[in-house]
Amino acid sequence: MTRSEFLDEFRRILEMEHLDESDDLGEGGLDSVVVLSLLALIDEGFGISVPAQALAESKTPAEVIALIEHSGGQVG
Amino acid sequence: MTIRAAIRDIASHFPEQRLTNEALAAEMGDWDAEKILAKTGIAERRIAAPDECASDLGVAAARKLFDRGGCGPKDVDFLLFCTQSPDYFLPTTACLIQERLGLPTHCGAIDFNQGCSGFVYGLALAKSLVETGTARNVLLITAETYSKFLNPKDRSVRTIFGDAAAATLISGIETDRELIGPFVFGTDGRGAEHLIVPAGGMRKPRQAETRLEREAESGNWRSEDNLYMNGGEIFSFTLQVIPGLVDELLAKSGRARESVDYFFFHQANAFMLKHLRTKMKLPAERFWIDVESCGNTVSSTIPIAMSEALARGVVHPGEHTMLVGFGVGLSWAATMVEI
Repeated sequence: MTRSEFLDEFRRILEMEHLDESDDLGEGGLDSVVVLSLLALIDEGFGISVPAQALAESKTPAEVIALIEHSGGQVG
Repeated sequence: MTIRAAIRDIASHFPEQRLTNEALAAEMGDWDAEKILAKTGIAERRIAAPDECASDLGVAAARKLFDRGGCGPKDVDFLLFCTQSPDYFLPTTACLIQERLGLPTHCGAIDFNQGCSGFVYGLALAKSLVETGTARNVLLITAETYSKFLNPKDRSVRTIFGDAAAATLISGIETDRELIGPFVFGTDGRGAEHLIVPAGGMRKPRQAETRLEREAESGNWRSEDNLYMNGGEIFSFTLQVIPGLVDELLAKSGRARESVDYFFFHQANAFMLKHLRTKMKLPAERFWIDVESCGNTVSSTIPIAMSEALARGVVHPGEHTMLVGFGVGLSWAATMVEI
């Protein structure tokens, strides 16, 4: 899955019209429903799993992408 | 000819009170009933009354099973009661159920504390009892009232869990075929903290401090007396463990995936099940997903699913099914069952 494909799906999960890598995902972290959807997306798109807690605490989409790459995912 | 354990009948029971998505949405204020259904696949869940225990649900399920005529109380010589919400620390709740059901006093009766993998573990215990000649008719009751552990202000769990019980009769029949088994088990206590009621046991008895509610992630509130579930970690565990578990069971049973007539996974929530099914390329027409009317009933999800599938004619006697339980502990177990 490419970076832009991932961001498109991320945007869809968050039900937002616009989402850039540096956008703030909010103080409270990602809620459990969003985390589940992202875990499924990452599993499907990259064939890997990432630490759920670290994912939930991500501050920006860039941090999520870094987590994917750190976990062995190839973000094209 | 050998004596082999077989599932002879299954009955289930739900408490009266229904908690719908509409009621949850009205209570929470900023929720949408349709969104809850879309995200979880659950439209309503049954909730035990304040004075209704898991044992009450279990007794009701067992009485329904007896009423179906295949077996009476006097025929049962071993009772297995799977629950994580017993009536008391002691005595064993199965002993109380023995008396209430009128099972004979020569009947063995034990509780075992297991959650989402509990039905498969129970089948392993029942098979062992029957095929060693230790018992002839094992009554396996799974029953749970997780609702009593949930904080009303914890959205992460209130949409998911429902209360219910199932009673399954496992008896010996003369045949050379293995009708229940083989089994694959798994345990990883490193994940214990991901699904837990921290206080109330001997490690941390309930007291004023454990009753204090605190705001946690995403605006959810809970105390240490309440159930906590890290849904993300549980989902991650599922993705990592379950595909391999299925492959391991197929190898152990000498079966190809295509020879399994139906798959009954623990009905945790529809989102997780659909993803697992897609990931494992299992055919939708042979994979049960139905949490809409009862939610996640923990150790009873698999027997309820099997019972419903039989009633609807989705599966038929003689078909080969795979049962896969996974969750709290972390614990997992899978087996093949010829219906």
